[in-house]
Amino acid sequence: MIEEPNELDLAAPTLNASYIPNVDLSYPPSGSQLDFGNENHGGIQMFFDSSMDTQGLSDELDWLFGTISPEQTGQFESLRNIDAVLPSVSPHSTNSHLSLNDFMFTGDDIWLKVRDKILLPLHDCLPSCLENSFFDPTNLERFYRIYFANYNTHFPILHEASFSCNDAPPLLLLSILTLGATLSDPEHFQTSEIIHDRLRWLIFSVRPLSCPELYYYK
Amino acid sequence: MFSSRKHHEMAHIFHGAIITVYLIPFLSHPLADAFLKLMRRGSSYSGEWEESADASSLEREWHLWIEQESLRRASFFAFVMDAQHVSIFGHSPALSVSDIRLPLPCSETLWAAKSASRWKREKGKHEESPSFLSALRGLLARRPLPTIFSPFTRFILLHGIFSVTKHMQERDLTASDVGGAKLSADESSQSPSTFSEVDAWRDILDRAIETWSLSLVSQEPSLCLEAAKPLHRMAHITIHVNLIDFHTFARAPSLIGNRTSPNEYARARKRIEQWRMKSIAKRTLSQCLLLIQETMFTRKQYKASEDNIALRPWCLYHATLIVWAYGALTSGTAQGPFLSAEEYLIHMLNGLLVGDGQVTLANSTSGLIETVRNSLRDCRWELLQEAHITLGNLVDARAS
Repeated sequence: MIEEPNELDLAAPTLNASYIPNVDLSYPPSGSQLDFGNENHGGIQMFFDSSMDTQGLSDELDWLFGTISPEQTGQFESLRNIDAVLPSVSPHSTNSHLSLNDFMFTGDDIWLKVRDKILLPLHDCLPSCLENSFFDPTNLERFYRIYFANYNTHFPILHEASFSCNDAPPLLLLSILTLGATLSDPEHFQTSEIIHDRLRWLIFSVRPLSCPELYYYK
Repeated sequence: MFSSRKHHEMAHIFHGAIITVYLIPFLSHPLADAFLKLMRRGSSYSGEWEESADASSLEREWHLWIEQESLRRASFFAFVMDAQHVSIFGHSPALSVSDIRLPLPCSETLWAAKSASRWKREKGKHEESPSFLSALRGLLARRPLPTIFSPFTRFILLHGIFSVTKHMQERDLTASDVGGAKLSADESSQSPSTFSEVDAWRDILDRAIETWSLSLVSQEPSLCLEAAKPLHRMAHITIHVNLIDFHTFARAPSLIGNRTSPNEYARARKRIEQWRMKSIAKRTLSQCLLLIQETMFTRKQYKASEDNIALRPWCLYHATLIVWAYGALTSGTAQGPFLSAEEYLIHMLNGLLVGDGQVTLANSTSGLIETVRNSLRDCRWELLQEAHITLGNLVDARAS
């Protein structure tokens, strides 16, 4: 188990902070991470544990960002810099943090983070799939809305009022977005089919009981 | 579900495993502490609420409640899927109603509360939800559902009836295998007024669905109740027939990926014949015709490819197969006059519901089948593409 990261670590240049997607720093919150170590849970590890190979994965994924248009990259860059300089959001201030990022869907920021997050588990998919416009932030936001309008009204399993893209595990987000995409245009329907091929195995590779909501991807 | 045949078959294979691994512990020990602790770590909701000393205890309480309620709802979702797969797709059940020892989901207003304080206020207004089993028992005793039940809760209870139906059918099947001639003797001697023991449960469930259907009434538009409309007709239908028999009889590709043997075809046909001879067959037929009418002829032109309720086209397809099978077996293949879909529905429903129950021209179904077939055009879901082909074959077979 990697030790709890402190603010010094986050800002340290040796960690190459600009390469680490913001989500990895803030999820899961450092406090809860420590607690895991203290409890006996049979050595099962979270699939999306930030302590797992953050550096390696984001390096591997670096080539992916070649497909992003220049202005998007720029926007993302500045976002990262801010996060690298400022202290990470502490668990104690989640209230304002939540309301700012999750209840307003106007900006692309949150969806850029979501994209990074869902690309991690998909890193060994074909590039043709990963470069698809499916992963455009605007599309992701659209799929998310389709999901909550069409699936969650039929099967209200996810609590919309408190749902937070920042805190949701990547596989749950991926399930939501691909389900939303099935009711979208044909091209994105196909991509979600390809992802579903992977997703089934990914979900079974997560430690059992982590999140039965994942079941819903079917 | 809006997916390929491969995904459908895979889902079938994995469904049981997922239930065993993910849900059984939750279903049988709903509030086991250790289990919830484990769940929380992977929860999609802000886990840091528990850690945060600043967060008010009310906020914490709310978030804990959200986790529990979501888990409960996810478990019920698994149960609903199980019941649908069993009744509509002929898979084997992984759960029975007695596995579900959970209280029903909370009311809609409590779930939709946007803040902890509003949640607290709402919580004070309502009592705890009753357990799933006691609500289901109430339905079987013809007690209408309380109006406070959310559409999702009503939906869950409808699937409770689906599940009970399936288990009773299995029980009868086993009994007939063990008891030999008893079942067939009962069937031949039955008349509408005296229900044999075999039909007693059918009557109880039929009435329970009638009672349930009273809760289709809602002031709020609800996708969930919209989806429940064709399904509650299906619930009536599956009490008396096995949908897969009609699937086999229409020579549609098998749903679990194997080939249909001539023997299976003969058995399916025999069971359909047995059903057709019973007086109850006409009620089943009316349910099918009403399902088709409610799906296709009550708003703008129906296109399955634009339907956001995954199962609705599939219900429409099976209702059509049953109507076709009844017609083909009752009036033979002799060509009657051509009736359009609307004409056929009106003619049949008038005979069945308004008249003396005598139906003529039951096999003039080509207009209806053609109309349903057109509505299933260009679907993404591979099983519906197959349905489109199967209906085409039925029309062609009639024409030649």
